[in-house]
Amino acid sequence: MSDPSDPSLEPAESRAVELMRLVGSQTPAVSSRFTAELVERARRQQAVAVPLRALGGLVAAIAGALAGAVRSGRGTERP
Amino acid sequence: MSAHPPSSTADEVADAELVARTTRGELGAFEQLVDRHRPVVVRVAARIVGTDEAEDVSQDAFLRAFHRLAHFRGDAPFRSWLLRIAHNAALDHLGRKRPEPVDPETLDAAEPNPAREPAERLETRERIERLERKLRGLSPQHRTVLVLRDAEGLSYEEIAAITDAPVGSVKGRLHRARGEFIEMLRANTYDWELPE
Repeated sequence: MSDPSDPSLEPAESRAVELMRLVGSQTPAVSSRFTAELVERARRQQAVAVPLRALGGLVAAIAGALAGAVRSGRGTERP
Repeated sequence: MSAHPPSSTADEVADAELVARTTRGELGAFEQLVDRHRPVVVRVAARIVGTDEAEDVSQDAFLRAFHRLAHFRGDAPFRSWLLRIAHNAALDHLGRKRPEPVDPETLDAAEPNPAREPAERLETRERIERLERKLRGLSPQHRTVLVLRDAEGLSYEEIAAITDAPVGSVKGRLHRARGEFIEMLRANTYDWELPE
C-alpha cells in the first residue's frame, strides 16, 4: 500500500500520493434509487434470461435427439 | 494508510456467502453485495470516466457481475473480481465515446459553486475537483493504476488481477503515471506544495 512517508518515495512522489489520497477520500454521490433500480433491472433481465436459457437447452436437447435418431436410422439401413 | 480499509478475510467470507445466496436466486443478497461495494465501484468509475458518467458505468458493472456470478470461483477476493469488471466496463465506455479533448486552459479552472459551504470544506472540494481534472489528462491505463494504488490503497497483486497485467508492469506503469502526474501538477499556477 502506498504510504506518503515511505522512504523509497521521492519527496514529490510522496506529495503526489498525499494528493491522490485526498481524491480517494471523496465518493461521488449517486441517486438514492441506485440500488433499487439496479436490483429491479437485474430482476427483469433474469426473468427473460432464465426462460431463454431453458428454451435454449430444450432446443439443444431436441436437436441432439434428432441427430441421434438420424444417425441410428442410417446405421440400420440395409444395403 | 489508505482512506479505505483493504478487504479482510471476514469481508471475503461474507461476500462469498452473499454470492452463493444470489446464485440461488436471492435478489436480497445481491442488493447487500451492491450496498457493500457501491462506494469503491463508483469512486473507481468516477476517476476513470468522470463523475457525470460514473453512475451509469457502475450500474453496467454491477449488472455484468450479476449475470456472471455463477462464474465467480472465489480464488480471488470478490472485490478484485468486481473491480476487474468495473474497470473493463469503464474502458468499454471510454472506447464507445469520442476522446474528450483536454484543454490545458481549463485544467486549472475551478467551477463556480453557488452553494454556501464552510470555507475549508469548499476549498478541499475545489482542490479535489482540480485534481480530478488533472487526472483526466492522463491515459486511462495510467489513471487506473494511480487511482487503484494511491487513492484506493490496493496491493500490487490486486491491481495486477484487476487490470490483467503482470505485477512488474503494474509497478512500472505506476512509476510512470506518478511522474506524469507530478509534471502536470508542476505545469500550472496552482500551488500544490510539490517539493523539487
